[in-house]
Amino acid sequence: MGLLWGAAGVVLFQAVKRGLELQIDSDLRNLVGPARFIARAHSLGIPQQQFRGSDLAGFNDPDGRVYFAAWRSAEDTPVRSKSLGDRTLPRPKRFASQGVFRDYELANGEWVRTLSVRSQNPPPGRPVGPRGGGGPPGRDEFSRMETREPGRGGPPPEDGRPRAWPLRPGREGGAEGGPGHESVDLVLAKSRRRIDETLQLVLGGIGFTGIVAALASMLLVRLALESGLRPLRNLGDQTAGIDTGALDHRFATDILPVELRPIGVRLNDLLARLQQGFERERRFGADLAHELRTPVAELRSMAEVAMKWPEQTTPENYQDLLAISERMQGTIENLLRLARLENRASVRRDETVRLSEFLSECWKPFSERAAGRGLRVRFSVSPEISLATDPNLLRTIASNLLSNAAEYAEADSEVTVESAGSGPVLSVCNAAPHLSDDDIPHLFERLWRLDRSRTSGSHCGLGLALAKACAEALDMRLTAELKDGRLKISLTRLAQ
Amino acid sequence: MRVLLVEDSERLRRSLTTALKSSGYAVDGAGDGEEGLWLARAHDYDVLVLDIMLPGLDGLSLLASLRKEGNETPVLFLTARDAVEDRVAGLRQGADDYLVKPFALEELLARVETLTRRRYQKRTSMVRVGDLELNSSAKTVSRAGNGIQLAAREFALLEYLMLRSGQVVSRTEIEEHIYDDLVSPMSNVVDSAICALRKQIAVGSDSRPLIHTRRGQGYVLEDRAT
Repeated sequence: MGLLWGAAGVVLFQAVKRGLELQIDSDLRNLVGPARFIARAHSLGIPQQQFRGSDLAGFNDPDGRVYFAAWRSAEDTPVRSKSLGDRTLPRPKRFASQGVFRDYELANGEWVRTLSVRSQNPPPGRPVGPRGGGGPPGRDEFSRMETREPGRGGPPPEDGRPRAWPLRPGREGGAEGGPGHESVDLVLAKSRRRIDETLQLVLGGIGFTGIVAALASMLLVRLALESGLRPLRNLGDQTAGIDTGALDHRFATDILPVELRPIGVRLNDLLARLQQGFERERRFGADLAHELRTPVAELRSMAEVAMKWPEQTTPENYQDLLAISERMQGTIENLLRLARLENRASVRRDETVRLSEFLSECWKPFSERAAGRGLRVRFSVSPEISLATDPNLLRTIASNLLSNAAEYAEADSEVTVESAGSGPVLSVCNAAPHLSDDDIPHLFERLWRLDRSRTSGSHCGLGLALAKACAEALDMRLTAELKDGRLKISLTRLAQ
Repeated sequence: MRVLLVEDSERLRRSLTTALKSSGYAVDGAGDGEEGLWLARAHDYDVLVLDIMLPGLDGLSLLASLRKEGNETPVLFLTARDAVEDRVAGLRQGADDYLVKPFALEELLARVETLTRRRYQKRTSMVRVGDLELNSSAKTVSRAGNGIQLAAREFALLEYLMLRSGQVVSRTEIEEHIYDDLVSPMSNVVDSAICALRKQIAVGSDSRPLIHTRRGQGYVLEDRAT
């Protein structure tokens, strides 16, 4: 904005300056005639007392601020106006058809605008009087002569006063005119004081106006910004007031300006996602606390009973203590591993895994439990299938799927473990009559269990969440589907 | 005093049973809600200690069923759910107390004892009949200033009789409240225990008999000199 105001001021100043200089240039052109008249009269020895005051055009006035100096081609000493006093004007070396304008500083420090012209005087032998008689010509004769001098043949001015000659130039570079003609180099000058004063005033006005305009602009811009940004500030204030306990807050987008509506909508979307995330974490925290409360209560009650009634302590109590500790340790390790996997903090080390042997090995720890529940296990895995994958991550996935099947499959039913060359890398299918379609989306949630009360046993509800995170680390995914009372969990590559 | 403990964590149930029995309670345990409901209907317990999240039938539903049937047995909820709304829901369902896991064993025993007293309209742990005094918190008994050492079950029997002093207490009631399911209903364990208790509280030759037999009805503990 300041630059705009500055540029406008410069343009305005230059326009005014140019206008004033054109005016002074015009004045200088109008002074060419009287100056030449005086110079000619001077060369002819005509005393100036015979001129009318208006013919002198102020050249005799010491305060007239108009000056001239004229050089005949053969002379170095110029004819000067009385107003010039003892000051001098530079003899021009260069001429142009319309004259040459320039600024010049006089010896007294006064700046003047000069016009340099070269013109031709009639041959010296030509009679200058009205009838060719001797003696100095009268004023009327000069007047006629000078008005004819341009040779245009036009009628003399009605008022009979000398007019500015058309600037008939001599040849460029100061060459002599035609034969018999004498060239006169004429320099006219007019003080720049008035236009410089005017320009100073204009400059001051522009500066003052510019400062006022700049201040006004700043004020207006500030007011406009404050007014325009008020909705944004309100939005910011509302946003600042939202903490983790108020994530259900939503911005009223219908009262926002059109420009801010998309921001309001995006903020609402962000809040919704944050609310879901915080709710999930809160639920996870509560679930984890609940998960640990029961084993801690078991440990504490056992310790207090042992201290209060030591005679009641049996070796079985120590086995219980060990089992509880192992279970809590498993929970903590699973949580840490889950956190590392979700943060992509673990390094993947791929090896070639022969799937058939690998799955048989994974099944061994659960075979006894499965046999105890009357489960029949059918492996349908081609022996030649091998994978380039991280065996530790794959083992976690397979172990959790097989462990869940051994623990939760309907007793005396069949568990199917399949892998083919195409399709899922691995799928485990078992009868799950207690599951419903509503349970499927929760299967991979941390600490989710179908029976929330199940606090004993080795399962703490982290297995499938851990398996899912492992699958993602292997660029695979776990999906679950329930069909005809049978749960099928499949591990597939993302590309599939 | 007989307590039903319904807790799905077998280890916790086992250690709490040990603690309650060692404190003189007869304890029946159940690992799921359905079994707990069956036991609560089948016996007259002095206190029910219920977990909320139980397999089969949750603790809240179990309590709702009992209250609906008119069972006013004091109930202590023992659960890992500590949210205010969980406590409020439990208390509004008719529970008398609420204890969040993990807990101090002494606190559990104190709360069970309080609920037991409340059942017999006693506000303090001190019960007096004549010159016989029983402190249910300190588990002490004295008569005419003489301390009496009693085994846990004898203490429980005397406490039960003193809490119901002046009332006829049948053998069946004694079996219900003092003994657990392991006691054979055909045994004369109650008569033997009463006989032993009479001897224990007769601290001197001048001690008046306090436990009286109502033939065909049961026993009454009262100070007939008053």
